[in-house]
Amino acid sequence: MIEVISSGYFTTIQDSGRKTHRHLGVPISGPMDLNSFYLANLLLPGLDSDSVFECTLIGPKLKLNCNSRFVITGAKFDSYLDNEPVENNKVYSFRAGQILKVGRVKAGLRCYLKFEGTFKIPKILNSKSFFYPITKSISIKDGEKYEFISKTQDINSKIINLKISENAFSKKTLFARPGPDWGLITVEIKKQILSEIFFIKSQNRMGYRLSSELKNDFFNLSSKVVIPGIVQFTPGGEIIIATADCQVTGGYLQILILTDDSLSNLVQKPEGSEVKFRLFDN
Amino acid sequence: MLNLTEFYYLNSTTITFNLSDCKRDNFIGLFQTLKKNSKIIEVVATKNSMTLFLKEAIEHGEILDIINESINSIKKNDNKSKTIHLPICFDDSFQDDILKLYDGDLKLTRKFKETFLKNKFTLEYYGFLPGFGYFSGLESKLHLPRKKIPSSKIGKGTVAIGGEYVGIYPQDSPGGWNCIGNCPIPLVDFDSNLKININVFDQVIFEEIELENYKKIKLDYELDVYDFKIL
Repeated sequence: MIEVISSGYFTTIQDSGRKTHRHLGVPISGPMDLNSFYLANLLLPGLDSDSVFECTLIGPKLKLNCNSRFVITGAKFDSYLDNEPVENNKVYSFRAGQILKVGRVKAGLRCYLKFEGTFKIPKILNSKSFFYPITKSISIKDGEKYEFISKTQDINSKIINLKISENAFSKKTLFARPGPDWGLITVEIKKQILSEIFFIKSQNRMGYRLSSELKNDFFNLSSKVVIPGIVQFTPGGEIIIATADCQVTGGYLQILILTDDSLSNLVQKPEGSEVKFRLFDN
Repeated sequence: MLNLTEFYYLNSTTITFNLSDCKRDNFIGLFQTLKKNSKIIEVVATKNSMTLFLKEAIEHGEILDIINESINSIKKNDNKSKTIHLPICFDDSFQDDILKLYDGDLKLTRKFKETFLKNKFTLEYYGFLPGFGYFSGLESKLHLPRKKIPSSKIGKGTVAIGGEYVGIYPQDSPGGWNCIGNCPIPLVDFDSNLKININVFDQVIFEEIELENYKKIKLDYELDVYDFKIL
């Protein structure tokens, strides 16, 4: 059992997502930063149904009432297992009674805390990923207790430690392929989109909004399917990049699609960060 | 025959294609047939396009084969859709943008709603929110542009007009559509077990009810004793 002493700023449980009910308007959800999620699963291999905590800005303080192992990937948070500082991408063993505190973020925005085992929470529409109101929870709450089935065979087994370049999230350039509506915008606007530096105005699990001075005249497009990574251009000139909890359909121009790596890079950037787009030739 | 154009790969397992000049029956038939294909997790149809979510990446040629085979196996029965009566309540206690539109003129508001009740709608697709259905079939004189400044809260069950579409809000939500009335029955019930009350391409006629009956229907539905009127 894992007990939430304090929940942090915004901590959710995510598995690989809800991939079967988009036809009813249900978002895919799942981890924002898929690269870090995959890395956590590589370091502590598990079933697809195994889920992780996605922590944002300030992580949770957890009382671990079992023997198992964990790993943290993604953004660098100031974290401690009892009094021992915790490094990213390194597998730690713990025993019942220990306290894991995932503190404040130091670089990036979101980290993934994976335990070796399975949370016993119900799957709703084939997924454990939090998405309100499909799931009752928006985020984890203080005092909650999550039943957890440890799959650790030997907590003293060899510790894996992977070194990954620290500045992976600081890259400003986002690589993208032309989206379905790239052909509809003028060469002038294309040039501006590929040369300007944009600021992240706001962000949440649905999407990233960038400020821009650009405009377009496409007010009444018919809706099309939207997936995470699609860069939308609104008539008001805003650029919205769809992320994990994005709406299933949308009527804005779909000008670009980020590469998977660039999407994972983007979702580690807080408000105020600068980004620029570059076409990716494959 | 269908004119398949502009295939677009959103990623290796997500393909959107446009269907221009496609007869309605063929569009629906293709949608229903593709849905049954074992290589496809799900199909999302919007106004003129369809998106296939594949289990795993496959060659483009094979995708074309799947679509062509599906076209050839469209059966007449595939596009047989139901007509369902959905209750709608225009009680004063519900949000009403039509009354605002006519500056409080009750007669004009009533006329608008009476015309609305004569329309037969088709559920085109789900989007925006889980269980938010987009209905076509609104006659053009009732089309209302979306609000420039969205309302901060539109109540659950609100029937609203956004351009040429009619939608029903499945939950309280900010929104830019024009509220006309309220429906006590959800299109999709995500509570406990998933129950889809109105499927894509089903047809819907709204039937006016009074507040008293609204409350009764809502309770009947919750107790699982509500009978849908299906033609």
